[in-house]
Amino acid sequence: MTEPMTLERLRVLIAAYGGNPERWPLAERPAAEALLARSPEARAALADAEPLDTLLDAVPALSPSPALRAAVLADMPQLARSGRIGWWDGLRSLLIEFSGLPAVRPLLVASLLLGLFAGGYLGEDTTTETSTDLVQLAVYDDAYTEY
Amino acid sequence: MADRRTAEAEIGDPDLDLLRRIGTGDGAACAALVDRHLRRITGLAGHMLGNKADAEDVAQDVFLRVWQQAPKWRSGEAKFSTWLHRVTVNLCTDRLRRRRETTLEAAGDPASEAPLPDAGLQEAAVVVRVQAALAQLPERQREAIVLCHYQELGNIEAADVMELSVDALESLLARGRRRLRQLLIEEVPDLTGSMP
Repeated sequence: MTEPMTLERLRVLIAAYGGNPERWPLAERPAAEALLARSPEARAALADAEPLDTLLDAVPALSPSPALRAAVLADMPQLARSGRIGWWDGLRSLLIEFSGLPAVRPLLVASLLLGLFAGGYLGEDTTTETSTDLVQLAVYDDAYTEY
Repeated sequence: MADRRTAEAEIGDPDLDLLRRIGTGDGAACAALVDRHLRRITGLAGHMLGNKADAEDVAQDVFLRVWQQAPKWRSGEAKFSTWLHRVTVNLCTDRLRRRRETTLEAAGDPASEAPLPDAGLQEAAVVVRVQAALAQLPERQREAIVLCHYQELGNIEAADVMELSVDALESLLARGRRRLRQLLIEEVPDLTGSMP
């Protein structure tokens, strides 16, 4: 059983939400409607809100144009570009996009694998000179002097 | 106000499944989400900005953020529609501030489509007048009225969108409606008579 609503609280509700009970807080509607049923003052407060509600309701909501919907949907591919679908999906999309001719596809895959091999395996340990390397260089290089 | 936290806040998030599918790159889910929310988001931006071109720009920006956010969406933090409204309100507020900085003149075209001359010049004049009055409200009061009156959000969701308490929301609404009443009814007593 909900507590009876005071006229003061109903006036606060109407002042905030207007005179349409659909806009009132769900939990307070039964008590508010019970008060309206028994109180002429409550009904007068409701009637007082009606002109402003009518004016506000005169402004219709804007509808999205078909061009807007198309533009919003055209933005979707950015999902893949930003990597949120995963790097493999992005790579696969690129391969599909640039491999229209069947003959091109194996070449792309081969060059990709070659690149991965060259970058990941052949490149290993070629940039770091160890102290042994330096000693051998020194032995074979007559011009070598120790600083 | 805890007693007012009723079923309005308990409802689950109907967008979660679509968001999960969008996270896997499902284009049909993207389209379904657009069809579910674009109209309301455009309407919200239209009532906030009073200008169709700006409203559509904002709606497009909102969905750019949706595409960025959807794959990372975590349930339980906020309802998706609440977040969507918050993003829209924030983008509209930014745009209104920039507009204020660049010009002191009133906003451009009337907000809404429709009231064409053959639908009644008086009715169109009322629409323009109401939009102008809404534009004169302080920004937080306008946000509250647009969210509760036009978007018909429940008080708890509207308060969540605005990141304030329900009491503070009610205070903003009451002050906003009081000011609108002054602008539209007390200063222009014949305005309501122009309505069909």
